[in-house]
Amino acid sequence: MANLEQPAVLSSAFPIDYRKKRTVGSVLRTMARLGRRNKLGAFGVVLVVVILGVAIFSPIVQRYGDTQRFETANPDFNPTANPLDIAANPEKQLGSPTILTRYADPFTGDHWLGTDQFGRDIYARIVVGARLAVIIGIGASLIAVVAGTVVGIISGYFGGKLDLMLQRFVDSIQAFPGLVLLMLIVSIMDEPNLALTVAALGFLGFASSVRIVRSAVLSVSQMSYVEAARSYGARDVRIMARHVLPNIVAPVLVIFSISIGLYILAEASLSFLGLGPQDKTTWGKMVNAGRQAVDVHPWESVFSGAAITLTVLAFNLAGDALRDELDPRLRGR
Amino acid sequence: MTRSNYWTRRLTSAQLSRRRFVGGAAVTGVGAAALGLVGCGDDDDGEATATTAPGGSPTAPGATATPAQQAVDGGILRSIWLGGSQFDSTDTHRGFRDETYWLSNYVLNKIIRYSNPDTGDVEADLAEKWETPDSQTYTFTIRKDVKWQNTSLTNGRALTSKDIKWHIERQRDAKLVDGTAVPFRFQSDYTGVTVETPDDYTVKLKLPAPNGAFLTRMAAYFATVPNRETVEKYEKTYNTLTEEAMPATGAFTIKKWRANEDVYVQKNPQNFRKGEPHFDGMILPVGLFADPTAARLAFEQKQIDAWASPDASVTKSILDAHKDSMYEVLTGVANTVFLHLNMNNQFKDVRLVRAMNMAVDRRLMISTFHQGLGAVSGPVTWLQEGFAVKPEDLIKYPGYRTDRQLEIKEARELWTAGGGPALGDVDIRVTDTWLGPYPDTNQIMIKMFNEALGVTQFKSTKCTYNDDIIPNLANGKFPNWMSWTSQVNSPDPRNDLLNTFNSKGSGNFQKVNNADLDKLTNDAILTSDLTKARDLTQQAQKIILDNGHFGNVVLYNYISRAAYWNYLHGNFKTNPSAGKAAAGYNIFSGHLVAKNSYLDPKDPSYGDTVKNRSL
Repeated sequence: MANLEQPAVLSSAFPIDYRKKRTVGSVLRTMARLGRRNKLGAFGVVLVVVILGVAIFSPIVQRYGDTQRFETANPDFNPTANPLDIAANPEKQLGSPTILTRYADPFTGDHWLGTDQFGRDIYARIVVGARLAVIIGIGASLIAVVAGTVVGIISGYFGGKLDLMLQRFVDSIQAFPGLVLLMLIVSIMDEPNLALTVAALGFLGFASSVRIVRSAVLSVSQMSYVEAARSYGARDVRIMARHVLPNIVAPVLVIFSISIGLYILAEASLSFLGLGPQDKTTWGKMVNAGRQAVDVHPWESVFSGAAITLTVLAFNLAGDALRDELDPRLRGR
Repeated sequence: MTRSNYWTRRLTSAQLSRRRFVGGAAVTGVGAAALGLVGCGDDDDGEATATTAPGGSPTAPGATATPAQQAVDGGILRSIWLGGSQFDSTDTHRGFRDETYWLSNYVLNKIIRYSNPDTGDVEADLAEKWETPDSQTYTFTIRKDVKWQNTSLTNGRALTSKDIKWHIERQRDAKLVDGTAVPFRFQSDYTGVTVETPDDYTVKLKLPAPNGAFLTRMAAYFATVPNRETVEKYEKTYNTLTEEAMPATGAFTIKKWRANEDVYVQKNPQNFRKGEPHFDGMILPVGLFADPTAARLAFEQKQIDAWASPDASVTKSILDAHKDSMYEVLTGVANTVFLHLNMNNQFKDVRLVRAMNMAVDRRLMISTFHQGLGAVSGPVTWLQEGFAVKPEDLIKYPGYRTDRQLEIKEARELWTAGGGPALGDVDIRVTDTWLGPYPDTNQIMIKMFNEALGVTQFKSTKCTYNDDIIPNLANGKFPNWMSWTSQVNSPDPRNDLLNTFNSKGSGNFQKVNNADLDKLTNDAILTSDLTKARDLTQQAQKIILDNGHFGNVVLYNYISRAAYWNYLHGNFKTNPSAGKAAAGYNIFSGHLVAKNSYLDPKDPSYGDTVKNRSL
């Protein structure tokens, strides 16, 4: 019984033998070996590390506040200026004590990526946006995966009417176009904030997580060690926790890693549509704000769009690499 | 935007006696009453004072658009002339948003109307003439050739004095047919007014007291006369948009009216003003307002004929790239930008309101959102120069001073003294219509107030007029919000001040109850002496300024820079010339579109996209 209750097949699923004590050197050597075997995946992992680093250390690397305005004193300021004169000399901004440093070009002066229409540093905003993107991506993915795993295991393990009901519920969620459902969830709430956005994205991802986990559970449930545990009288909860869950960790990890990029993209879409967190700097909002002048001053949209693209690409590549390594059939291809 | 020196001279040197006012109005009829009342326009002293248009070109006061004989009939205009897309009512008496009123000015008529909204000159509309035998009596003679659009409810009947009587009495009584009392936005304009109709085409109004600004209210954009049968039929569903709910007397009839999308209007063949409108119709894609980028693309593809980016520098770049086929229009925006703080709720202590009035950085907002194109406004905006606090005086008041550090210091002291830190979260909401063109306003609000007051308690979320604000005005549960709020409707602000700050005003949602202010706003209305009216209004403004605007914090009015395709001849105060920008009317002039605007198919910029439009 003791042997039967050991987590099974981990050793065959993971290329790394967890039973051995590993050193930093051995981990690095393993990663280097994996990197040589899957260069694109390694590139993704490196990018993910960089993005996570930027997100974690954003207060250090952002240089300026994301809402800090840059401005210079206006030598023509006249607090009693006639509106007629203001209109006749629009460039002098006679009624303004300062002139915002709007639309500064990138790669020059103090602003590496230029400034936006309100005189804010685009680089600083992208760095702060990275933190938000990572929080949203990982947060939503965690919610989706944890909830999806719990429901997927229950559904797949027990089967029968419970499975039928749970799967129809999942069907009903998946029947709606994802973005439409997301917009619906966010718009019926009083105000889109960070927590709500994360929860809504997690809810949306929950359905597909349930599907994948259930499929894996259906397969694992038929394994002899599960049958053996049942025959020894182990309770369902124990079987699910000790025998089923450990054997579906691989697909769960893959779902988790791959969907982070998707959630970041979905959040950017929401923010672009004005349904994201209103009080936060997000890349989607930056793309939207920048598009008003995209042909004249393209940098805000271009850089924030590039940040979204790179991040989604990085998590997708890393997720793909993880899947390849965890699936013996794909390993080495 | 025109700042006529005439105003100042008139107010400081001339005093129009009541006798003169009454006599002048009685003798000359059309236009003279407004001359007496608001003291502006091309008056009897024969002055031909040149004023300078916003674009810098000297023009004669009250210069109008291209003469009618040059206008070309035909074609369909497409433009975002109705601003935002959130109509709240089909009943012009019960609307609280301006969109319905703006639309009604294409479709309906007023008793009289502004011939030049910026100066306050009025002319006949439904009334062909009027007399003022004494300062409390107005006798209007109604035109006999005005017919309602033929619908199953109107049967195309003629408009009569009974329509005018109902129009005034319904607003005065503010009751529905079933006796339900509901908020009517301009109820206090008609308090105590009695109406007699000696015959079908004569209306005699008796005011409870002299009202120096009464005619300006009759001419304002919100004073359109709707059809009684129709309004009463749709009383219970007045906020459901249907084309049938607003049968026309005016230049256009409504063909299609879709929320958040568009409005189609077509030429009214029964319009009593023959030869108007020049357009066969207008398509007003209101939904484009919320998406400036889409609006811009639509403009460049000539799907709309005029356009203004929220970012004036973007408009300029488009104008510069199409110098030969577009022209620039500069207009002071009458839709004033306000910060509303609910004194019934979180901001009961006036010290908090005063603190906020100093914490808000008006000049920064003008710089941030409008690239410096605008000027701060006191309780009476700079568009109403004759009554506004002079700029050199205004900058001495808290909230308007140039010493920002002093403002912040005093704001923090007041915030603390008034118990601000104990308020918890303070949400300064921003309307969705504002967030379309200015999407990052929430962040800017949070930063501005938190930094100025040295706290972290401010947040900023989105709200809507229709769901969050309008239904809660009368019950005092409206949110704190920042956005466009009040449309300046005439050069004379007296009624608006009374409406908002007098304890009996129907727009006094902050429940202001200040005896001095009541007296000043009442007295200002009563007089026809402009100098006295101005002095009283200045005193009232001082009280308002000293009390942080009682929560109705006027911030500023900005200047819109728009681009027009050359083939569109707009409705302007001053036409473009020799590279100079055209000057639009600052105060609403939609009722003049039918008269002044047309499409010129001979202009090289005119193309098949414009030609092939259909309703």
